[in-house]
Amino acid sequence: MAKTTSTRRTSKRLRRNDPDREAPHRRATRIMLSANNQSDKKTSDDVDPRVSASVQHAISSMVRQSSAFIENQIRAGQDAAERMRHGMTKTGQLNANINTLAESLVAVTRDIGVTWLELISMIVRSIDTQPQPGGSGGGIPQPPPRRGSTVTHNAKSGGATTLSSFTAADSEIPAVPPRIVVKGAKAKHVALDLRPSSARFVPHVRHLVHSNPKHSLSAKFSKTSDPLRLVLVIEIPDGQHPGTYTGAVVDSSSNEPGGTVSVTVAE
Amino acid sequence: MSSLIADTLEEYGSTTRAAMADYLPSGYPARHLYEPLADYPQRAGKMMRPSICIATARAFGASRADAVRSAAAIELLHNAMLVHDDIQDGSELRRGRPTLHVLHGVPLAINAGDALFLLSLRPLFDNVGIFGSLLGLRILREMEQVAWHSLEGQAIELGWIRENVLDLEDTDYLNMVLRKTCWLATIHPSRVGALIGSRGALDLEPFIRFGFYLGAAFQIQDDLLNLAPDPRYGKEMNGDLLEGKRSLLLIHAYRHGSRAERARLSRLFRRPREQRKDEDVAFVLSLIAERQSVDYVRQFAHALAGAALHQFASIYGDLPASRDKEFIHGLASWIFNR
Repeated sequence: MAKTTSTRRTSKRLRRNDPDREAPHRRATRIMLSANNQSDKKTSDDVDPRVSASVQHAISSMVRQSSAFIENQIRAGQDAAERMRHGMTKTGQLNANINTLAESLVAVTRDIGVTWLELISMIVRSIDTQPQPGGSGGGIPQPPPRRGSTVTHNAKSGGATTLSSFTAADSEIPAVPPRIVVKGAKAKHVALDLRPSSARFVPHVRHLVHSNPKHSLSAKFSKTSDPLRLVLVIEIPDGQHPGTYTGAVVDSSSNEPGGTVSVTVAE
Repeated sequence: MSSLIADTLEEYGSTTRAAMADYLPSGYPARHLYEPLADYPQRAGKMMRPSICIATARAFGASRADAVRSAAAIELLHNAMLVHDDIQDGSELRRGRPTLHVLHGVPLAINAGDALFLLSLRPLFDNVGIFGSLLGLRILREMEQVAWHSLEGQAIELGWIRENVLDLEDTDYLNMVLRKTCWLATIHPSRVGALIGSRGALDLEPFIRFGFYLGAAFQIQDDLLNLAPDPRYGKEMNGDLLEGKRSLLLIHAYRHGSRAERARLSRLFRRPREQRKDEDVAFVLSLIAERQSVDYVRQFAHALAGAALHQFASIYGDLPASRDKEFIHGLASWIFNR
């Protein structure tokens, strides 16, 4: 609760004069309303050509930045709840991981004069639209990797459930979540959240630590014959202490943070 | 659409005020506690928070009566925070009238704010008796969580002001506004509404995204409104600039200012508020204009509102059409037209 303080009145405050008009003049909202009246319902693939490429790019960047931010926050909250459930009490380590998760993407901004709310929501929908695969013949073609967005992959390995998530910082980085290989019978769940900041990011995992610092695990990224697909390998010895182990993914040369790994070991 | 929003806010606002009135205590000491405590809840506010709670609950199948206690609790908590915020900000006007500490002095206002915090729990205890302990306690826990988030957000912003931090990124602002504004304004009301409507069956995580996008757009637009002369706004014009509030506007202007302009801003906000003059405000306004910060911030707000609409579709899209569903959808554009 707030402490008792004294307030001092300022000698001058800006005051409004009574307005000489009956309605606020807000240019952007007028244009939005006229755009709403004029345009028919559009599909997500059919953005109005009145929206310039620079506007679309700026809007897309802002939405991505905000989206990445809130996803980080949600994940941090989930991690915090999971740690508390397992009795983790080291708030310093918790805060360090939250700060890592909260690293922002660089926002590209352009100044514009006019925006339209409906058109912006169409741009947002178009960010999430997956390209539809074409082709002929039998079988179900796999969609190409989504670019500039988050892709997750659920699987199982070595008796553990795995969740591999890849968030590309920009459209130049193909979003291909690494495969997770778990060796050892005691693993229960492994989660990888990879968020490289550039195409040059080479992931490296430091030791995964338990709330009791005496216990740790190792994890390692390996390449495969597919240049887009990495593998995260985790070996869990039979006598490994149960609980949740977490660690940061960093760039192997710059040490720049780029994600997290968590491993839950059963009793 | 705007009349639907206004009518729904009016209707659910009246319902919430009536519910709050039932909880406002009376007795001794009336003049120094119970009358000041009742002041803000009785002033005309937008009632957006409780309306979101009721509308979400009804959209998911609950009755108004089911949601009204939680709506009252939200509005009481909001008013408690406003009392303290106004003291912390040194604001002189709230909803077109003098702030509580201007009317009664800071000590009594703080005490009344503390009492409002406690009072906001009473409707939630009544929830336990009506919904059962499982759902009732979940709602209580949600309220406890949102109160912490709000306090953290306020602490972050006050810390920036105290330490004269100006070199901030957009995500710093989003982090602060998520805690200070979004949780209480939009996330919590929709989560609680969904809890009540679904009797605890729904996954509440998507409401964090929806509420964040909507709440952040709301706050950014609120900061823009503070620059515009509008009698409906109810607060002193440019009060945020005088206070040194780290809005997205100020953050953008500082980030794009020259070295000399940044130094001048830093010196300006290092001085106590009462020493900031009209020419200081004029300097900040001219910097904002030159760096086209209003356009950038307005664009950001629109982007967030668009993202909110996208999330709306994934959460509410399968619900049957209803006035409440339409109201929630309409909020994304209402925040720019209010």
